[in-house]
Amino acid sequence: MNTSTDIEKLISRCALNDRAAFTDLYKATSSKLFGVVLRILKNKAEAEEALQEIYIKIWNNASMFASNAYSPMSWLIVIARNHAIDIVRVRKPDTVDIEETFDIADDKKTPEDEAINSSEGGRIDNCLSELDVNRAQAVRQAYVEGYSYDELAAAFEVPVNTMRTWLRRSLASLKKCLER
Amino acid sequence: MTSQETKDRDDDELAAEYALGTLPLSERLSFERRLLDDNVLRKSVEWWNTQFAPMSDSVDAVAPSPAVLKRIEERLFPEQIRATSWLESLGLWRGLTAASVAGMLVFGGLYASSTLRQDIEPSVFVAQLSDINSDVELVAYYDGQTQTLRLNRTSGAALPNRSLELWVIPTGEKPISLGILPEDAVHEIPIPQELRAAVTSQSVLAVTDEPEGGSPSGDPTGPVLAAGSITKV
Repeated sequence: MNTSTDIEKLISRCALNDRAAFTDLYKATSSKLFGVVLRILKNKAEAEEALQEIYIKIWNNASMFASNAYSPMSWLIVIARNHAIDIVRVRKPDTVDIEETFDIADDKKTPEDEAINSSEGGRIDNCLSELDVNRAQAVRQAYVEGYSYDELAAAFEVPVNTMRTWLRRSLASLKKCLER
Repeated sequence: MTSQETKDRDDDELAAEYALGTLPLSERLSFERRLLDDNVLRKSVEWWNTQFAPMSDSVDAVAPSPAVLKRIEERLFPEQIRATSWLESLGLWRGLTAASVAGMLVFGGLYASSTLRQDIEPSVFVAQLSDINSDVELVAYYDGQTQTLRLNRTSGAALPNRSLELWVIPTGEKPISLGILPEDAVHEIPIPQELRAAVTSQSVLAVTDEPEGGSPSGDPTGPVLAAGSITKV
């Protein structure tokens, strides 16, 4: 089982051009990152292409890990999500109709999921539970599914500007709660 | 509240939207430009990313296919691999998607070993451009030796009295026009010196629907009909 410290060590060894460490890092973290990216891109082939670019970025930027405030897993997830979000925003920059209804995020966790996660006791869950149910769900879906304002507006059946106002207010409330 | 405090609050809201991923494309791109030299803004994004990260705990891990690691290692540690113009000379390029091209490179044994050092080899890039909301699809192939971008439009066409315009979007920068696509499915665009740095694996190629003759403003005005990241082969 890989602890946060193990992953941190692997990243620092990547910064020293240790190829074996890169392979170990990939083996320890790729399923999680692939899960995150696949959820946003919703296409296996595209997600696998994206995963290649993500690990190349990780290798190339490993020396920069030490200079930021992230936990190792958070840092990897930020790189993965940023890449995936860039792709979906470029792909669908304009208003689109969403006809499907969205499933509510399933919070059940398997032991495997628990083995590798980014949280060091994050308070986000508690703070989200203080929000109105729909608003908390919109924040989660934006994060997990990578939905744009257009997509969120369609899912919650509100005009897109209303959606943005909603979300900004939710973020302001979250900030207050998180800083408490 | 002073104007500085208002600005800080607005910036923090933008940082939250950026970290969450909801900023629309144009705002996202200009925010990323600001991030390059604004430490306060960067700290703000880091704070939000750290707070949001536990939400990914609910996302199930999914194993990627084993070929992905192999492809990454081939790209990161190619030893002395030389990409030549074999791709075209074999006549294999037309009709192939970027993905299958990449697959061939790795599995077809088409990479020739060479003593040529990697840092002097010309770059070869491919990109597959598509969008689920449009039938326009292209494969792009850039040969660093001839500094020419070859495009093969495999599907779709411009609407009547409209034009398809091609753009390159370097990470965190504005789209740069590479011109109007002609009716011919296969088309070559010489890339001028000043744009060569933009055609790299950090960039995205996109095709938009524009008024006949191209965007009047110099920036994309119509919807993106096809887009794809540039991949080095």
